[in-house]
Amino acid sequence: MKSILKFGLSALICLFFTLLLNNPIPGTQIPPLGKVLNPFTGFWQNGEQEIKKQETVYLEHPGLTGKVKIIFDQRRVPHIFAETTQDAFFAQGYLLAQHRLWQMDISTRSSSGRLSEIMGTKTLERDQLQRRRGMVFAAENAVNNWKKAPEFSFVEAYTNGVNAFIDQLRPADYPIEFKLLNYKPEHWTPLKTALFNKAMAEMLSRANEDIEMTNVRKLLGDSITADLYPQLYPNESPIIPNDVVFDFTPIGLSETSPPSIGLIEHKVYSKPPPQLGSNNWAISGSKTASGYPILCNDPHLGLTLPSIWFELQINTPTSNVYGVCLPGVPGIVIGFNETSAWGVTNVGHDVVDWYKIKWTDANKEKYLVDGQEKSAELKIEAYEVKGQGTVYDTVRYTQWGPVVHQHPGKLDQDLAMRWVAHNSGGNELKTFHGLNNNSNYTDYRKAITNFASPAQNIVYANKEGDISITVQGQLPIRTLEQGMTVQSGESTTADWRGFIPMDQLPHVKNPVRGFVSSANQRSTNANYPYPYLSMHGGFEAYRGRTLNRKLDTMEQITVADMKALQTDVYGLKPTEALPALLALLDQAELNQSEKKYFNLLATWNYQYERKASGPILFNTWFDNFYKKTWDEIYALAKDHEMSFPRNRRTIALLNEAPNHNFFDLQETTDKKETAKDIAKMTFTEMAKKIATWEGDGNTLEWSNYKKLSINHIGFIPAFSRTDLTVEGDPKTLNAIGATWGPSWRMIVAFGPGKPKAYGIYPGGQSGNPGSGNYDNMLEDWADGKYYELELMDRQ
Amino acid sequence: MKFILGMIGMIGAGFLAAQILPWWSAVLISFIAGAILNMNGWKSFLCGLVAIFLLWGLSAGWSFHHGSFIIADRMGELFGGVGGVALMFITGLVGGLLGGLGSMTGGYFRKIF
Repeated sequence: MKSILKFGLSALICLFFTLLLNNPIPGTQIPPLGKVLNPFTGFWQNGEQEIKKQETVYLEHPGLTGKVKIIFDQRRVPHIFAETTQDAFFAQGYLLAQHRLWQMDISTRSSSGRLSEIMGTKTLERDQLQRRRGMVFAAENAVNNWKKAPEFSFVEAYTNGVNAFIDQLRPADYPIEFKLLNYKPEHWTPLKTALFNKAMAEMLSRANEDIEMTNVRKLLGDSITADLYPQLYPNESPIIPNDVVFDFTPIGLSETSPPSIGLIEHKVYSKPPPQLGSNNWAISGSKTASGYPILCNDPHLGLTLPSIWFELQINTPTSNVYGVCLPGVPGIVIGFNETSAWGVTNVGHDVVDWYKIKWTDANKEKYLVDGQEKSAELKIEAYEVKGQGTVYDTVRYTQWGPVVHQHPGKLDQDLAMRWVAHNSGGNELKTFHGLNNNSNYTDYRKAITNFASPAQNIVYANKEGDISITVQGQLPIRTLEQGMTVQSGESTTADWRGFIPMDQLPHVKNPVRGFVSSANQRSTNANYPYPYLSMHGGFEAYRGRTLNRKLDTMEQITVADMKALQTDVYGLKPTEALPALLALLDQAELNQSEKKYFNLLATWNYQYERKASGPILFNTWFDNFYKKTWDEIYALAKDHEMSFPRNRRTIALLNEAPNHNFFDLQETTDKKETAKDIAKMTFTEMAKKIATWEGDGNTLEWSNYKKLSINHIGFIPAFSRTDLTVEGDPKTLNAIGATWGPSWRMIVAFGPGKPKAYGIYPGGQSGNPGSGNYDNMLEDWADGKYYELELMDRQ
Repeated sequence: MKFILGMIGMIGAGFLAAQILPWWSAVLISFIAGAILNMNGWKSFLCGLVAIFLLWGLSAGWSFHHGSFIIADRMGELFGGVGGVALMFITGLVGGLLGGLGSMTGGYFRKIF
């Protein structure tokens, strides 16, 4: 009896510990420790030293038709040599899975609202929002579209490649994040490729300020809105040079403006940071030292580990291309081949509109348009929530789009979202395949007309000497200011008038000035016949002008000049604001530390360099000045979602209208402040704040103040890098924010032979936090260094 | 002698089982070994503990030496800031605890008959 008891007790304890270590601890972040810690299948199996030597492998799989040779160079960049295009895409899929499998999984889960399957209830709300936004709907529409074209076989080959890699994995080989989150990789599908593209569209084209601007108009009135929130500024330097004539007959234009609508009480869901953007340019041989064109591109995106880009070369008997791709999407997005190079920046146009729905029944199944009752399409969405079972909810699709903002209990407050990405035509597969294989300007134009969303400024250069840029994408035809505010969904007059025909999109080839460029600023001057709005309540204000001014004056340009320009940290904003601000201060009134700061600012050369003190002083001062200036709007924003006037407008008022009503502080009823009062007040505040900061032992240098964090996609701190010191500012060409910046810097210089190319991205080829190739390019990137990109010959 | 031989046997069998079975094979092997060895409770526990401690700890050490030092350091940070080498020791202890419990349970199982 005693022995049975001893056995029972011992077995119980043993079983308890085994089960405990086989499962995540409920309610905590603790992973299944037995699975994770054991040296045979746990994290110990995820170690990889940094590989620095060249290595050749042959990919063998029954799914391949020919021989596939892959040369990994010293930086772990694979150079694929395949005998057919299908095999090349198979290999690309295989390699991406090998290096970035968890990133591919989590990105597409996030896009399709499936995070709760692995994270539990904490991500359910986010998942539901993604489904209401119609992300899966959009991706399904894209796949149906792809299926009509022969290029669909490329996604299929890519999919097979990803799955071939997944199928040979043992649990010990699963990327570490699968082990920590306790789930298995699942098969890739073409839908996931589309979901990845839609996640990009979401990041780059979902922003809008419609709700905020509706409230601004209602609360401030039309004339103040027009004064403080202009769409056009003097001295604009648009993407398409001012001497380009728009020689075509526009279609679908009409004069009627949408009627205004009451306050919108919905909270705005979080948006991607407005500064996400990019620079690209191409310089004609007439301005370069070599006499051949140079093309440059640096897309500024949220910086993560693993990086959003993966570098590779794809060589087939019919094409030879090098560049970066997205983990989950076949082909090369930004790159070059033997004859041509191309790059992209985001088009800032607003391609989202909101429509207020008037339901006629309590179940919200029918709504009114033009006095007629229409039926909404009800889609039941199921969420397999980890630890909770299936949760259902309903998404209502109206003729405008899915209802995203819901007001339970009210029948006239729901907002439906019309977004180009929901059912954009076009075919990105054709675009990138076309660009990858292009050999001349005609090929480039033909390839990009297939590109619909998210709209991109696609820059191009080739060996023959052509340079060009096109504002490419599906862009709605609207009336003036239509879509700036929420519209009533009760009338079809609020609908878009179609899309701008592809051959009427802003475009220029070989302009007189000898360069083409873009930095997310306005596409054109006011002569372009189609009205358009910025998705951020104003187009990019500083980088575009900085870039064009610099390029205008440069001659005999070399690659070294281009490196310097991509990493340029000159600030146009302080150039325009600081002299006016300083002039408003009375130097005799300043105390000793204020005088010191005044002198530092007065002698600052507007460079956001590591050692400079000006950036700290100016940015802090200007931020305070901005907040005090717009105190009236901040006060309104406590109760309503509000849009804020742009820096550029603020600086224009400072320079031109220092007695503007808005400089008056709301809190002081007895006094009318002017820009001078605000400048003095905020300078004193800044001086105190910085003196305290210095007093805490900090040296007054930009790099001590500005920090860049590059977080792991799953926000695991141990897999993130938060210690990076960098130069620049969101508004300099080297645009770096707190968590975002140039995600890939590329320079391609043409010459008589193959192009010479240079590039770098902040990360590493491997997505494995246990690999030496996970973040090995970060320091060089932060230091503004480049690697040579080798377009290897077929061998 | 039985203790030493049993321990070596457990390490060998545990290593082989781990190549095909999930992580809990360590418990299974130590249970079977415990039943075969038929030692008294504490001795049985100690034998399993040392065996699986060595198996897991040394295997982790081998991985550490062959490139897993980066992941070990990152995982150590994740587990509250312990170093990679300390994590090797912790890995051994966790395995050892399970091995000891398995082996002890196996020993007690044998005693029933």
